[in-house]
Amino acid sequence: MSYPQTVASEAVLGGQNFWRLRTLLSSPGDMYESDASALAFAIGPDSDIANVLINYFDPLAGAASMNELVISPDRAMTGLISARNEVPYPLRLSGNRPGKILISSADVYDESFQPSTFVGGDDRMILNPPTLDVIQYFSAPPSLIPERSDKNYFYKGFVAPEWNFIVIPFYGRKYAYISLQNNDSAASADWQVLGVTYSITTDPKKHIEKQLQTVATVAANGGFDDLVVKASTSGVFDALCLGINYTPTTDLELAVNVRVSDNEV
Amino acid sequence: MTIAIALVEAAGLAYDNLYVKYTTASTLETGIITFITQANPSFPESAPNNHPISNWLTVINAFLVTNEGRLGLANGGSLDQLNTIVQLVYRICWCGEELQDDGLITSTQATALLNAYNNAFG
Repeated sequence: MSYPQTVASEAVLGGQNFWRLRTLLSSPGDMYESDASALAFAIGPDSDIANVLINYFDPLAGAASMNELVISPDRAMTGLISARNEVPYPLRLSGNRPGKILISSADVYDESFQPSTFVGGDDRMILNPPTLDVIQYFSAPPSLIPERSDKNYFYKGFVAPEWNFIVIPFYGRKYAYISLQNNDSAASADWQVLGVTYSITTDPKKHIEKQLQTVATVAANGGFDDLVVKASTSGVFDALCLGINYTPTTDLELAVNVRVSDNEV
Repeated sequence: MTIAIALVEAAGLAYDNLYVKYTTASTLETGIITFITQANPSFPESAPNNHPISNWLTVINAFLVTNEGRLGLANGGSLDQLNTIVQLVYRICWCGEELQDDGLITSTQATALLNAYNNAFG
């Protein structure tokens, strides 16, 4: 969580027509606020998080005067959402806090995740924290294309001799292409892919896993292997967990590339 | 119900602990009231670093007000309501854990949040 956070009203004073909240997520509990009213909210192009919860002051929303909505790459929000800095949410127990716009992730994330086969003390986790990217517009945007940019992850350095597990955010994504090229002169490499759905648990190994690629071997001397993951056939996941087991003859000779997209190719 | 010894554990136990409250007559709503009432004084509005926690407490309070009298199985409460409050408690616990790790709230404040959780749901 980037804290103290940037201030939306400073973007207004600076003459910008939007405020961008772009930060790595520390935990599923990251909470941000906006003190400026909005004419639209949309998922930003670099967001790994697919679902963002917006809580806002709405005097027509019952005794709590708080309404909520979720934006996603499929659904932006256009229309006036007011930040009522001068009027409190009428919630006595929580201290009648100012009626600002509240922004948080609606997706779950566990930075301590480990695949069920992870061996502590031997195996290695490489976590890519998800990015939260939300754009708040102060003027009506002419058009909104909340679809996110494709992302590319490239790896070559792996620690031998046990499994290296690389966790890649995959919230709301519909397509992934994973490819491996082994230019090692002698050593083959084993690899596997899991689709991960985070759950609420105290055990980092008890999240929901689906084996998308069983353990396979990429031969030395130019061996190649790949995997296509499509939402329509494989399902939807919060993350992909790519496992690599490789003891190199020469370092940095195994190239791995993962590309993720909102579009199912 | 299980007492948590740390906020990250409290987060992981959110479903288990609140499910017990959900199935026990009238205890989920009183648990939420206890949690907000006991946690809130430790996070005054005057300190900006308190805002993430105080904002979560506001959202939880809004959930309580919106669903007052209709929480828990005995009151016809739905699993959707349970899922919502579990997620909110899960998230505020994680928030407290990260704020403490980053030095943005004190260990006293984090302990107050954990104690409020255990008194309400543990």
